[in-house]
Amino acid sequence: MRAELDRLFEQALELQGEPLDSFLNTCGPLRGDVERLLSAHARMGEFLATPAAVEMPGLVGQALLVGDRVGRYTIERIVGSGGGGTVYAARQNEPNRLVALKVMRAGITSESAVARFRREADILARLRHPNIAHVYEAGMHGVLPFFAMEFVDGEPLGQTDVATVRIICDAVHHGHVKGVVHRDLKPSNLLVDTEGRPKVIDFGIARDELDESSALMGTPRYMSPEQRTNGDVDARSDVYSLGVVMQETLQNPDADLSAIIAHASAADANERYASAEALGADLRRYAELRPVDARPASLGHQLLLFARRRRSVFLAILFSVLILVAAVVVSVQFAWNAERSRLKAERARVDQRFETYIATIAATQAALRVGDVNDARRRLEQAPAELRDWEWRILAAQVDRSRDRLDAGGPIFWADANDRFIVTTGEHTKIWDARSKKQLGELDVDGEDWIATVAIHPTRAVAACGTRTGCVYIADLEKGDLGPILYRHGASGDASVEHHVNEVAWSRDGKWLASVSMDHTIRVWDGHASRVLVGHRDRVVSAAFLPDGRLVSGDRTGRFCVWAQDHSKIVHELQAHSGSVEHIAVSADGSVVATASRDQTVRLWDLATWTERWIGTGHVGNVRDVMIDPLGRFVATASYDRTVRVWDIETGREQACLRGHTSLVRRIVFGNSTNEIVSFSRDGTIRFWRWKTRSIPFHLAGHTDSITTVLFSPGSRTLAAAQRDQNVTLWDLDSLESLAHLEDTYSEGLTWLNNNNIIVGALQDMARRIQIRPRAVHILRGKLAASAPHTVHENLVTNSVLMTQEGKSVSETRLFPGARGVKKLRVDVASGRCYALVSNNRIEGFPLDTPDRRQKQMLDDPLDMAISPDGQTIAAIVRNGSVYLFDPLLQNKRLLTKLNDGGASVAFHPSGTRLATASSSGSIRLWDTGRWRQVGTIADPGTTSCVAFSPDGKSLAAGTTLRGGTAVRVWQTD
Amino acid sequence: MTRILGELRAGQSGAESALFEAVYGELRRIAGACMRGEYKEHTLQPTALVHEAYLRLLGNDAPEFADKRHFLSAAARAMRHILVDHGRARRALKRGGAGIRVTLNDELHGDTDSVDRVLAVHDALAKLEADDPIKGRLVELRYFGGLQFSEIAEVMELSPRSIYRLWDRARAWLFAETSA
Repeated sequence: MRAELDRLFEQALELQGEPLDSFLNTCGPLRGDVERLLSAHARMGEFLATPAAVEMPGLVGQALLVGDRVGRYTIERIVGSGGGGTVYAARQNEPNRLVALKVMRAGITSESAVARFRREADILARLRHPNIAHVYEAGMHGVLPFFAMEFVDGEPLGQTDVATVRIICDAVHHGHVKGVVHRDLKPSNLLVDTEGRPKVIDFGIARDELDESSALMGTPRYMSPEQRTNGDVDARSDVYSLGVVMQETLQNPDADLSAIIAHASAADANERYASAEALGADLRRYAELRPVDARPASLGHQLLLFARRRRSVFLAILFSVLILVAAVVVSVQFAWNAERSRLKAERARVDQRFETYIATIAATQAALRVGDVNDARRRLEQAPAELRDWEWRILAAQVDRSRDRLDAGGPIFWADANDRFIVTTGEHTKIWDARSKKQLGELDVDGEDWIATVAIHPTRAVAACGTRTGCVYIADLEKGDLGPILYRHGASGDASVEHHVNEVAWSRDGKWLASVSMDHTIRVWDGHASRVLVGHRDRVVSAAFLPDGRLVSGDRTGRFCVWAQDHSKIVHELQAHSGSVEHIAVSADGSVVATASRDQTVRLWDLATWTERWIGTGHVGNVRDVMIDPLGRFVATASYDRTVRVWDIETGREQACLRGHTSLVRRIVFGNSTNEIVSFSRDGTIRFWRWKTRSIPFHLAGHTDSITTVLFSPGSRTLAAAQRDQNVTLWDLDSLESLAHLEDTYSEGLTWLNNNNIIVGALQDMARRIQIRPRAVHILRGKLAASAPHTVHENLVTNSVLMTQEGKSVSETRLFPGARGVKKLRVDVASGRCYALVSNNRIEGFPLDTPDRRQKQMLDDPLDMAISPDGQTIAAIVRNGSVYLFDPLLQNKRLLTKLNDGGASVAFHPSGTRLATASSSGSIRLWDTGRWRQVGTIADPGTTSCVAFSPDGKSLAAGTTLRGGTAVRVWQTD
Repeated sequence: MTRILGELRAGQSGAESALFEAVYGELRRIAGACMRGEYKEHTLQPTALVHEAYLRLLGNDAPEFADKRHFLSAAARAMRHILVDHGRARRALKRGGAGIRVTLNDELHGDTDSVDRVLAVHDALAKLEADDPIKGRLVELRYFGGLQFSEIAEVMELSPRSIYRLWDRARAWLFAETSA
């Protein structure tokens, strides 16, 4: 009976109007019940949204009262409640002002939730817009998060006008640009103050982490369909809410305005405006009596709007003239308009996807800036696939640094590996082949027991398995057979004490096995019998054998114990950590021992003296596993903070932080090669990393003067960086070490001949060819081995262009007889055209074979230029920050942008789809070359002087001057 | 505590009521401490009550999934009892049970409406549980236990999407039942 009613109710919820009536007719005797439920469903509103304990707060905590202090604020009165918390008017003393204090209703107690809250608050504090209520401060009142915000003395949005809505769109868009979606736009969150100014409040404050109910129970009519069903939220969800708000607050909309409202509140997110900015722009067009995008205008309509715009005395005459003209050309216009509308619609759809792409890139960057890797990963996935370009790849590389990954099929609780992986997911333990990644078998335990820990034997194809009830088995890995119980901690059937085995460990020679248990004991197996070791006073969590056969163990209180050779007693004890010793690793040479702990540190101990060599801090969660590199170069740790970190073995300094896992990392082992680390995580994946993974960007330091040029070799493996003081450094990009240091070179005359030879200008008016391996210097006259026929090399010292043809003699063409002051010279080989920046005031272009036929364009102090790979666009940047684009004949000059902070350099990506513009303040902007819109920014601290892309399209290099010195920074995608 | 949970996992009879007793006792202790002002440092939020009991009874260990499930279920049920008792006491006082006029600070202790609602939901829930134990458990965990949806999904071993949908339908039923 109940199930039947449920089913009918579910079906009825999907229907409305006539279909619903017909359906109800088929319900029979249950009709009344179904109708009652439907009616209740429609009317229930926020029923039960607040838990009972909150509705009757007298049981525990008390509602905050007038006069209570929260942080530096004193409560004056209650203003209202909603959005997951209660809002009070509170007074701050310094400065003396009234603030709106929103205290959330649900407490947060976990460290990660608190950290998350703080990060959110940081983002919100960055929202600075005259129409957004500014968040001054966020804090915790015990377990309750609170926000102190600008107090807005105003009323919720009522009947209003387009101008006000436009302002609101602008404010909402500002939030989007900063990476915050409001999620709860409705009239009560759009206050209008006493001066008629709209203010958006509660930006992004109603969020799942703080109070889940709000995201769902919050007024459904303003919530976009995708938010209601999936919880998917992006800028377009806010656009939907704005659409519904407009429906309610804009009186008597005409056809155009109705079209805008409909376009904003379309049920399908792809049919809406892609951003609040686009909505605002269309409203602006509406206000300016221009045709709106939402409603392609017919000729007559356009004329009407045109007439209304041009209100003048001669309106009537003008109008009739237009009509006459229109009548004559209407047949032609009509066809043309139809085509134009179609193209416009097509372009609009493509443009929308592009807007979405730009927004996701901005949101990803914002998330990465505050370290929210999971959010960044999610946003990256939302980017339209066909638009993903270099900036997407560089962000993807920062979000996940692993080289490869494997799906384990469930959250991983334990693993061990050598040439086989043994992985425990949930209650199953599977054996995989490490090379082929195929499953070989499974280990099963009977009854209510399960395998908690596994250790593979150093030499034989067997593994020791410890279980929850305290049993230890030796499993045959070839047969996939667990075999009989070897021994057990505690007696069989004894459930009075927990005997859970925490870890098992083999000695180096595989002759001894140790198992440690929650019952405070250790058992050691010598091949015949097991022996109990008692001495720990708390749960034993980890154990390992030293090379000489002695046992060391760690327990839950952080104590580390060294046992006698005969395992009879503890001979040495020390308080290694302030939290549980989760794992112990011994170096191959037996000189040091590393311990990982719940206290979030890893420590290295000298094995002879048992003194601490260093403490590695940096992890922000329980450090669960540690291992020492067989070659003794580094220590690696795995942590509940989702990262794997690599530490220098001498100094204990953190060398790399490998990010990519989306949940805690449980185990790490070494991979096939000594340079590979394999990690196992609760997120269900096994990831493979290079231990020398560096964080992006790479930092090549050691330069002594500002860098004027960076240039990749044709193979993209070597980078030449020239300094103003005539020194050039060659960097190897695989090892990140410098290959060669050249002095007395003329840095503007730098060009790669091939991967092993570079030509540098020399002060003595003669070019030199430097051969990298083996190092040799050749003066540039006579025969040269060229890498390709008709290769052109610029040589500015002699103001000439050198051409080598198929290894034959070098010919030299003087380009500027008598001319001085050529700052930069670039050649487009395909078209044979050459471009030069001359004398601080112009750019010149000419064909190489007829250099006197040149074009000139005046520019105010040009610093750099670049030719697009297809030769069709020339970009030039000048000192004041303006970036100009020209066609190949230097005609059709367009201003792309004016960078506020001065210009430095430009470079095209080899694919031709991106242009990088660097301003001297350090930020590098990336532009889509089809639409000439900015798609991303790399904020580089320091002063940037030059940028270049690598020929293979993977890397971007920039010469930067920082406070500590000058360096080259390289962003490399995989 | 681990012993009780171990027994519970092993299916021993009497373990469930032992758990309930332990949790109930702890929750009441914490509630009492609050009333006495021992939590003055940070006003303990009602929804943090269960978490507080959890921390005190289970400590900092990462729990076995089964343990957490049992614990939270018991805690929610204990909360329900405590809240209903509290509500009944409030209602009795308000009616001036012993002929004494008592002025209660409604803002502080919850107005008559909310007390009536909690008690009405409790009665309606008893009916719902009989017919549909899944929805009943969900309401107990959410409305009385004050747990987050993510925790409820873990406890009931259902997807969050199912939880949201069941919660929506359960509320409709309870609304119909209590507003009739």
